[in-house]
Amino acid sequence: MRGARKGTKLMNEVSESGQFLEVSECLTGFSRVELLAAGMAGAYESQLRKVYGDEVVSRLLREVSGVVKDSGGDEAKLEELMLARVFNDETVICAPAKNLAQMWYLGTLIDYTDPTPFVVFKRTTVVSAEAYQQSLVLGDVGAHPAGAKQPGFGSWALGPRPGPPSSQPAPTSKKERT
Amino acid sequence: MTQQRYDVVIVGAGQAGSILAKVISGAGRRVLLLEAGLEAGTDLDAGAAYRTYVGGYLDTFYNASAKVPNSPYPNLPNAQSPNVLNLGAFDRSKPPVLDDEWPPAQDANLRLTSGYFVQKGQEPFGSDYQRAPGGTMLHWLGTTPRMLPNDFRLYTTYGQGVDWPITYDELKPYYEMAEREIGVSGNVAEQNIPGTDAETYGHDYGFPMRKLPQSYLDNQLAAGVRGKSVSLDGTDYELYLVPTPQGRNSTPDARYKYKDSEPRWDSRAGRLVFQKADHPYTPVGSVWDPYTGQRCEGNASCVPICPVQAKYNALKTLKSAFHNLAEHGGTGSITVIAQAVASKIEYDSEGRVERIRYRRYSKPGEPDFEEGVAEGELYVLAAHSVENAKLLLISDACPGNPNVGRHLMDHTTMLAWGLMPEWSGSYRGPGSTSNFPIFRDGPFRSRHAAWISPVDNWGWNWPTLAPDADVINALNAVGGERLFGRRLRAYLRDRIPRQVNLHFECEQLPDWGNRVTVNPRFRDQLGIPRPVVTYDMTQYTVDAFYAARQVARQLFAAAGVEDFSTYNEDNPKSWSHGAGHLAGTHRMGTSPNNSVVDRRQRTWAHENLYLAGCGNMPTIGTSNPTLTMSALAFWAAENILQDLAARRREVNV
Repeated sequence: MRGARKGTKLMNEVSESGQFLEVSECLTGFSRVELLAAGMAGAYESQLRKVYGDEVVSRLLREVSGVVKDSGGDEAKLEELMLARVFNDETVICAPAKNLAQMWYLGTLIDYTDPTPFVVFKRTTVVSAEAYQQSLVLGDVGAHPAGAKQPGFGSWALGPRPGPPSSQPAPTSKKERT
Repeated sequence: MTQQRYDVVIVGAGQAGSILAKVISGAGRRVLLLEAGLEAGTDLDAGAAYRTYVGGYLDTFYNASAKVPNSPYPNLPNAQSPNVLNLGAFDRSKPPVLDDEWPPAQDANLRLTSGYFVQKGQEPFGSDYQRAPGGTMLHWLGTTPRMLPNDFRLYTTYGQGVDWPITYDELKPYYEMAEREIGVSGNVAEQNIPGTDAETYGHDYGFPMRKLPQSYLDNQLAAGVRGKSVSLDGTDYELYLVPTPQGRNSTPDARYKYKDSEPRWDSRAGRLVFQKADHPYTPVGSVWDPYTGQRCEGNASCVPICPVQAKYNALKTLKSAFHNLAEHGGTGSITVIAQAVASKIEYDSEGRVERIRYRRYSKPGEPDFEEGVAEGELYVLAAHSVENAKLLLISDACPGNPNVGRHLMDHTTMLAWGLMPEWSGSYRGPGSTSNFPIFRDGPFRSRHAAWISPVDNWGWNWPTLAPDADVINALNAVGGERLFGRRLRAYLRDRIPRQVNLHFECEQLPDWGNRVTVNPRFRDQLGIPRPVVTYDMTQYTVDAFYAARQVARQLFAAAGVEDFSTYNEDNPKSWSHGAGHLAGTHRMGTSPNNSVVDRRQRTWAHENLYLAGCGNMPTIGTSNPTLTMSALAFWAAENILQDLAARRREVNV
């Protein structure tokens, strides 16, 4: 049934992207709300799937979710497990994990299969103009992406904005998700 | 087809060309403007200008992985621009070729042939420019210091370089015209610069707009160094910052004496004079909407592109030129032929230029072109210092003059970067809002180069490609442990807003060996020879780097800045970054033996050929050259109008 299939697909997308956001939180240190506010979750998930294929991406999502679960909310343990099971150059999910974090921070990703010497911009692709404008790195330090989200005349003379979210690291969600 | 004949034919619709076209057409003359870049960029109607600039350039910028100065603008196979990204291919393992010519067998041994420039010298020439309507002004930073009185008499005062054939005082009225045209924001009273006094700008002079607010970083740094000094060669220098005059919109200053008037040709006086005006100065907005860009909005992307055009660019001058013609009527006109690459100057046996040939392409990517001919009474090359030299050399213009293409200069820029002790709000505001002027002039100039030291508001973007590099290196465990998640975020939050970078933009002297040549074996897609660059730095520059490092270390220590600068100790010349301030390739002087143009900016060899742009500058001092080049363009326009008037009188007699 056409309608039913559509319904199922939609359900899957929601559930996948729920996991996608959970994994993104862990990789970036940004909260789900901050990530949702950037409005790029869907675009980054499809970009990742386009580059690495569904199988690798699903494995990445499973593995990170598993690590979050296994760490039981223990920060040190999470760090240790992530380095061993995800950010480990031996595994195929390392490159997509780095790129997923990089997309959120910079709106770009790197071609890790390119053997030319590593230069920051040389093997880099900007996901889209929107991705660049929604990149999180500079907004998180009280600035903004160069050429976008301009804060207004004289804003650069002002001191730091007080209070959260810019003064504290975002907490990692300890809630388990299935 | 009858060829139309113009009063003045100008090659290049960049800064100098736009000013010349505006002033000369405003005096009732018919101007032809040849532009190598795309026709779309010359359409300044609101809708078209918006589509080209915001829909085109800005979007390209967002999508560029390396946001270098040329990145937003079309890189045209038919009118290529040099790109700093090509420097990676400069091959030091091959020997420099320092003689003027080289045998074909050595072609493969040239140090750089990819991109637009061919480079064969000791050091890579690290600056770019943009061939597009509006020119390199599209990606200038917008810094507008005047040159200092001693810069015009460097040889007489310090025994270095050469003197200019004109003095600061002679150029001063034209500086005022340039500051009006560009729309400079700044505070004259705070320009406490060595080698200047209250007369330098003049007691009654102020800029059209008030100074841009100095950045929080500037103020943190100023507070850190207050009352402290640095020592160099036994002399103590007090540390202080001054706000930098800038060509970007700020709050209009009601005290501005010229109000909303513009310099126009006064035929009775025979010179340019500001008209009487009653209305106060109004900032000039974007070319697509006068209410956009009325103030700098803090996009922090002046280089390579100001999204709202609060930063001045040459298109504003071109637009106002058309506006004036429509408003005031009269006989003046500007005809623009775009996608027309000048290919040859032709002159008769007496040296009189008869025509300029150009190759006009109809499609940006395709090499097909039609030959065209531009004819006028007078001709001006305003195509950029390198392009002007290239065109002169291709045409064997100024025959026998060995100065053509020589004395290529830039500000050799050493960087010093570190971390401020506290959050300093880096990556906000215009690229630079303040500078340390301390070493812009002084007796040390007899030993090593002077420099201006702007504070960079954009963190370590220039020296390390931050913030991207910070993120990518941390994720890849480059230069430290691997970071991700909360620890990565905390690391970036701590580090990025404390990043400070100082420029030491050192004056490069005019050196005979630094030059642009052409070689018929290297041609662009239209068959026009490409520039071949030979470049090096002398001990005068290198000694300035060593001195600047001493100053940087002391300055950082005084301000509590943790120094992160790294330098290749084996080759101090590699500490230099190109500043994009290309100058000197057809300098003015006192005779054809030492120069290509006379003080009036006219070639010694061709009585009806003028040159414009930074190529005319005999030295560059420590000032970003755009303002001075713009002042010289007004001066050239005045000289051209005098010339035309004299010719007309001869005809009438």
